[in-house]
Amino acid sequence: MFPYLRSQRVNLQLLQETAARELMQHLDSIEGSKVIVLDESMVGHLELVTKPEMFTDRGIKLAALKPESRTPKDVQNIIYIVHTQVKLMDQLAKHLKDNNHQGRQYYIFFVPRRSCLCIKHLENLDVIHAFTHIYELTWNFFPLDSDVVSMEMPNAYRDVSIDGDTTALFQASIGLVQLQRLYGRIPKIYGKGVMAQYVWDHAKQLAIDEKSLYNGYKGAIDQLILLDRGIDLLSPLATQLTYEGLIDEFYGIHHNKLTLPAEHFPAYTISSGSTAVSEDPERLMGDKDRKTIFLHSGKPLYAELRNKNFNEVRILLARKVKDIQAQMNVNRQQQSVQEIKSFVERLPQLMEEKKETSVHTAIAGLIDERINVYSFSDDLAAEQEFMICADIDRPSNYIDDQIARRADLRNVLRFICLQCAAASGFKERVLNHYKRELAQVYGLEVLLTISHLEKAGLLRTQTESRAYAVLRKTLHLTVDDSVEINPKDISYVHSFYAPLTARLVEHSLRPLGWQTLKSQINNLPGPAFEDFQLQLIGIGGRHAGGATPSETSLMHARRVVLVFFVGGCTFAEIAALRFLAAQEDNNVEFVIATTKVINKHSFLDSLMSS
Amino acid sequence: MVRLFTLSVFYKGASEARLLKTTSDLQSFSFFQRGTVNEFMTFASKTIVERTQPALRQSVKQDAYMCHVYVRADNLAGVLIADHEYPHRVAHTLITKILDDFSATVSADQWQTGTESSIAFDSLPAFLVKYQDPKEADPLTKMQTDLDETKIILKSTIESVLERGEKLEDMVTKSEQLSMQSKAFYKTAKKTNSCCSFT
Repeated sequence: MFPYLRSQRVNLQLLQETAARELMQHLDSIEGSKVIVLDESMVGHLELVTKPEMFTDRGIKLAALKPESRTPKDVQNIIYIVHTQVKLMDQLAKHLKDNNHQGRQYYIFFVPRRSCLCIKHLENLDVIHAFTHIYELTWNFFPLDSDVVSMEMPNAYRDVSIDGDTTALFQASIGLVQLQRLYGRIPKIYGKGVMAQYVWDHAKQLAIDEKSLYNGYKGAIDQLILLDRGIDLLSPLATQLTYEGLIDEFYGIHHNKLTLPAEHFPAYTISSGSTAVSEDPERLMGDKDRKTIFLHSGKPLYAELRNKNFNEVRILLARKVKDIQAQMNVNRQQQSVQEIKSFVERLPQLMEEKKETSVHTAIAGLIDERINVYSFSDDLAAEQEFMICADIDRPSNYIDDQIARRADLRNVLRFICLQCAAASGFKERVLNHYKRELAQVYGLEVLLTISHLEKAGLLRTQTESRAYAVLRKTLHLTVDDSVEINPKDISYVHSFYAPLTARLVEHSLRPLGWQTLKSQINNLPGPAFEDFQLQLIGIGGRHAGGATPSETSLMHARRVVLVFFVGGCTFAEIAALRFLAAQEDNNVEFVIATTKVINKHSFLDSLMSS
Repeated sequence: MVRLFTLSVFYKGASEARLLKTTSDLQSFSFFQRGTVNEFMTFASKTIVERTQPALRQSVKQDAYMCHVYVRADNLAGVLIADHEYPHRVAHTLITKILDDFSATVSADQWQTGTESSIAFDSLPAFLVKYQDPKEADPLTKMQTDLDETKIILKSTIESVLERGEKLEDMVTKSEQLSMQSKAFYKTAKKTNSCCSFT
């Protein structure tokens, strides 16, 4: 059903099937006609684990949780599938009151778990008695692709660092245990950062009760690396230069989908009547004047382009178009019947390739327009100067200029935080200078935002160590002669900067792992830790010492490493890890887990909102 | 124009060829010419049989005509005179067929001594008429023609399918423009060595 999930050793289709089954079992246990009411963000999540047929086969319709919507009278059950958010409870209660009908039964499926807070709120709203049953759908990790799972929690980093709410971390721990339940125990764990440690400590605690983790079988995952977003705040703020990264930054990719105004895409006149439906067979709730493009590894052209630097994409697309042109312009007069027959057999595939190439040529064209403006180049140049630590301890002329022009606050703050990250903290006078300038131009409210950023660690004053500067040298974070086309090094994802997190992972693959970096890693915030989950012997819970023979013999086979970015990661970081996995010498396969795939805009938005 | 003129069955004797049966379609000639043409064609057919070895097929060009001859091993021979465009394969198929029919209907002892009037074999004219249009008469040719027509339809259908969606020329222009606009993203001229100073 989701074929693009299946291709790796860790079969993420299993995750999707388990999630779908959990939902279907609950649905099938309810008798009578049903309608499912979803909150807005739930639709996307549902599309990641279910297909429309699952609902149409059971005669279940889906509806949005909108204030004016009314359910038809003959429906016997209304099922609310919602996130565990208190503010959704108000909407839910109103919807219930508006759709109240004699003999109807109501259910709530909370995702990912029920909360006392929400239930109490429903009690206060006096609707709690209406519910026949409240279930929870323990969906913590959603499979985005064959090597990426996401918790779809955009505010995780913000909740923890600014509000002190560790719910996201707790859910992450539960998610880790669930993954181990499906794919086996993970024998070796590395991590860095406060949030990372929190997640692991809890996961370990919760796993004590999981007997299945302690049988003799080795799981599919060899190693887990937990990385706190807070150890590298520069990478999520830098402009991504991979195809997928640019699409996300300019237009936003949500649940593997990109939605753009239909006018950018040439109309498919002949089949437009039927394609209106067949174009979006996988959408649960459609919207016709916008075009939706699916972006996942099931589309071969996209899989080829997504992780490459945009400059390489330009060339590849031109080559692809020429290739299709050559195939189509074969002199058909000369062809024999046999040749025509084999051509016709390949025709559907060729037409699909043409359609995909057309779509991506259009998207690349749109991105090219956005890139070809001075502001983009100037911003990029400023970023790059910060990354090489040029004049890092002085207020930047570029930033002062932007502030004076009252440029977009989010972008200005992005630069300031970038400079801060590269300098590993501002000198007091520099930080005060910026605060003053910002308050004068944007108003005093900006100071609230600044205090959020300070709490989150994006703005801070200098401590003793210059972690970034040192790591830049030892880990070659910036590379002078980086190659964008057919690159040999992960720095191509930002055209000359390799994300710190990716370099850390790259280093961990070496025989000595992080040993050689110990001192520098200690300069990054938060603890560094290492742990083992070994085979359990006997009932008493004593661990076997050392690795079992079966585990050592497998050390030469391809390692499967689960890298968990606690707080979010970017498409560029994902591309960098995929690049590492593609290098034969590394002998590794990655599964990337994240609380959310973020970009410079969404990351700052989550921190700036009140 | 594809045309058949005469169709004859001969017996190749030791010294000369004996005409057993013949039919002709000389509509394309003017009324007054027909007699002469007929004589000429009969004479040509006879000559060609005499000059052809047994168990041999030939197609001989004679002015504007093509004479197709097949002399069987048992010395029964068939001659078909057609124009140049008539397909050879169909011609020989026809000859083979009438010879098979002839030898089935007319017993072998009549071949050496029979004359046109004594031999009872009337299917020649019907064959001549039918095979005027080689496509219809010969199933193989018919199939080839149908096949060619189908090929043409197929090709135009394929073209129309290929044209669906964006026009290829547009895509080529767009993508060429894209690939030529490439500028390296690494902008800054400052060397990475000019790093911050440690205080």
